[in-house]
Amino acid sequence: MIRGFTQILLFWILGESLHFLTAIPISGNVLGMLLLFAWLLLRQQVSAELEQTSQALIAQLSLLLLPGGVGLFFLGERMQGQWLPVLGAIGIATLLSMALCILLMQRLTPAETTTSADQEPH
Amino acid sequence: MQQLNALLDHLLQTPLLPVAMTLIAFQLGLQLFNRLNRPAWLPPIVSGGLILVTLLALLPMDYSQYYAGAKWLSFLLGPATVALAIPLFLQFHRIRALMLPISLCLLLGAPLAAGLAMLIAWGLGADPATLISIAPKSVTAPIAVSLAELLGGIGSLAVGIVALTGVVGSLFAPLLCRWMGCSDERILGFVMGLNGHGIATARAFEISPTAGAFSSLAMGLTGAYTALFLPLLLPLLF
Repeated sequence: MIRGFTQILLFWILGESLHFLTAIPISGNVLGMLLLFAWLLLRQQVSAELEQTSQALIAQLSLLLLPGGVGLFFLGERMQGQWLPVLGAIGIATLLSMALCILLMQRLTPAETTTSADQEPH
Repeated sequence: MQQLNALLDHLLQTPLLPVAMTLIAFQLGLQLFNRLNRPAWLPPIVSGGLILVTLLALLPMDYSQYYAGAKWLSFLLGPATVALAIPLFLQFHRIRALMLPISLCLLLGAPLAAGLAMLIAWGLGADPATLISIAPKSVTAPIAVSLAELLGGIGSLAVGIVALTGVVGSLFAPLLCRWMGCSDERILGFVMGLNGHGIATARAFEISPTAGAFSSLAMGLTGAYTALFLPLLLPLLF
């Protein structure tokens, strides 16, 4: 676990440094993710350690998002007149873009063969 | 009363109280979610969030005091975001099964999800900071927060928008698919992950392992791809 966590922190540091030094407009943690993904593609395998650590971290995402997320309720006047556009965009745009995605994929997808996806632990 | 306030001050010297409150609220939210038979309209992040807000309203503590301590939990969002590379890598091979529809749907669908949302919000009178917070609405929350804050939006607002989008996605994607006569679970899964990120992916896994797998693939691809194009395209608009 610690080994996997350290590797993840190293990729984060790498991403932060790249963001800082090159002024690429992508935040350090996201760059870290992209770098780690590229590294895994190159190596074509992921260590059990790293997989365990990532599962543990990702399983707690909802919890980790709570402190920032509840800030939503304390934005106060900042949000005056903004709720209608926010809710409208979420409702209408999400339905529209889902419908268009379904349409597009239906057009392009060949009929399903017998076993399309094997069961995998997640 | 004075002593009570002194005690509160003392407890707020360290992250102890805010961190404990967050854990308690989250577990209560999770219990509520399980008790109600895991409804798609109330994922734990929403139920936990509502309980946490109630706690904060009851205690004589304002949000900035709370956040000063609870940001230690938020710190872990950094490594959790980096860790998203691993499930993306593990699901990446599935792209081969449907190379053309997946890449086209991703290339067009992800900017479409962001663009449509911004267009509608703009039409309804959103200000620039709100618009920027809406742009990453279909992206998994940790990436969306980073994007929103980097580009001049509001992180908290982005989390709320992302969570609600996930709820809408998990509720309506299966219905839309049925109405449109689509029975392919790979398509359903991919559309759920592309539009509703982690919340819809959790739902997709309840529908079937195939839908779940394609949903995780779509979530990872959309997150990585949006993180690349949004910072490049958004400054052109403002």
